[in-house]
Amino acid sequence: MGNGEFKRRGLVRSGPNFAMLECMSDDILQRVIKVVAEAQKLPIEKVTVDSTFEELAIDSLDGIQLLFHLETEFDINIPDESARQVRGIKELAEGVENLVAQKNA
Amino acid sequence: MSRRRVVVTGLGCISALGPNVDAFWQRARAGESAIGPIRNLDMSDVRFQNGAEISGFVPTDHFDEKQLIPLDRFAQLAVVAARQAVRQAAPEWSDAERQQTAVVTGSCYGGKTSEDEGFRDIYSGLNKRGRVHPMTIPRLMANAGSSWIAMEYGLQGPAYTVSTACSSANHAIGQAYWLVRNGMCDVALTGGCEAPFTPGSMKAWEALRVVSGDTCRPFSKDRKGLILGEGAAMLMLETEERAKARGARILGEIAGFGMSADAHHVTQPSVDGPALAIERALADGGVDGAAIGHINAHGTGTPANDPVETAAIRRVLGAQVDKVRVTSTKSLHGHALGAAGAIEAVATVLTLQRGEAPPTANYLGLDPECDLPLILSPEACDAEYALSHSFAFGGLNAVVLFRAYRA
Repeated sequence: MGNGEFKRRGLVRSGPNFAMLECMSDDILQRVIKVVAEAQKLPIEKVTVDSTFEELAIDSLDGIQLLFHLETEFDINIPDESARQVRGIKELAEGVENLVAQKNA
Repeated sequence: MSRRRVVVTGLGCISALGPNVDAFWQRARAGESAIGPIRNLDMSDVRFQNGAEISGFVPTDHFDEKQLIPLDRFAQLAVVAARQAVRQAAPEWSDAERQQTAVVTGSCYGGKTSEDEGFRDIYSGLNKRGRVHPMTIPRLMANAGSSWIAMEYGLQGPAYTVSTACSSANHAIGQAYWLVRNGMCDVALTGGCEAPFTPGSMKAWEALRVVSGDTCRPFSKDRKGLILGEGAAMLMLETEERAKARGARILGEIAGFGMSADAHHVTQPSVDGPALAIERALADGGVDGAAIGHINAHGTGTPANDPVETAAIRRVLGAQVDKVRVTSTKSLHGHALGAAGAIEAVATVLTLQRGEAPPTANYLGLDPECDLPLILSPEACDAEYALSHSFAFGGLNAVVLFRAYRA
């Protein structure tokens, strides 16, 4: 993990962060959707903001590969624990947006 | 313990000689060597240039893109070979039989392709983020071959992988044979798989100074070393009773297995260890040396192996050695390390079944220390029993005794 610093901030935070959905960056959402579609070998139109991992047949092994590709795409480090709580595209994009914001802060 | 006859009802093989068993045998029986310049790697910084690579293997012809993500090349080859063996055997598994079918594979060093690539990028700084692909561990585990074969067919019996360097596949086949013979299972898929062509691996072999600068010349004067090969081969084993009951075509029989350790030196072979393994295979099969008509030798073509193997064969067989016809098919398909014994098992089963023996290629003339009745051009074979030898670095030896199937 490069600099050795292992941030324990969540990919997804509960409560207040939900409000961020209202202003979620469409750019980030579209990039997340593209990464998911490519990693899962799915037609991009099958992946929407409301898709759940269950609907997309994303299992735990697929999940860790998604995290790998998202880390590359957004140049972020996604911590293990909070990543486990993510269940769908909406949460995933929100979490990525948080981490991108933290990186740029 | 009940002792049951164990027969071979399916063979699969992908190697430098070709993508399947028919292609393999067509070239092997003619003594056509598949050794040539290594093409899939940059060899400009390596002292040796030749190998026995599989040409024209396109993974997406066998797997969809998503299936390929966790599959290293060596495991892809394992599954491809297993599919061929299963297709030929058409095993007609009941659910209960799937639950107890064994899968035992051999591999010398597992998913080296993925490991080497991932680690190279980290150590060299090529990978700026300092990460490896998340599937690196599942790809590199040596048991991937067994695991993916078990998953492919829903086989829930004893499944594991043996790693004893160049003897891996023979140890695996011997274990599977004993599981079936001794009543642990009725059916087993067994063999070996290896994909050793990676940059780091080539440098390691170069440093050991056992790879030939030209080609593989087993038992020949002026032999210069081994030639690395890649591939996988699988055998479907079942009890004779089961095979006959379902009217399966029986290709051959495994009749005995012996193993030993040199307990001597890590790379310098001894005569004692191999001789013990040969004696034990004969004793396990209840036959004496006079019964042996054919040997598929370990025959790596290294200066060290071949005289020692010659001495071991002569020690065990004594005067009977003149009745035996010996070949080393490594001169054709290279030394596929953990898959070697399995590829040679396919050759040995076919030799006994079809009554023709593949010759040893690239022979230049007699080395008095390697004086064996070698097969140097295609010839008929009427042997009933044949031995297939594997003698590994680390001094671990495994010998399988095959028998032509007579009902």
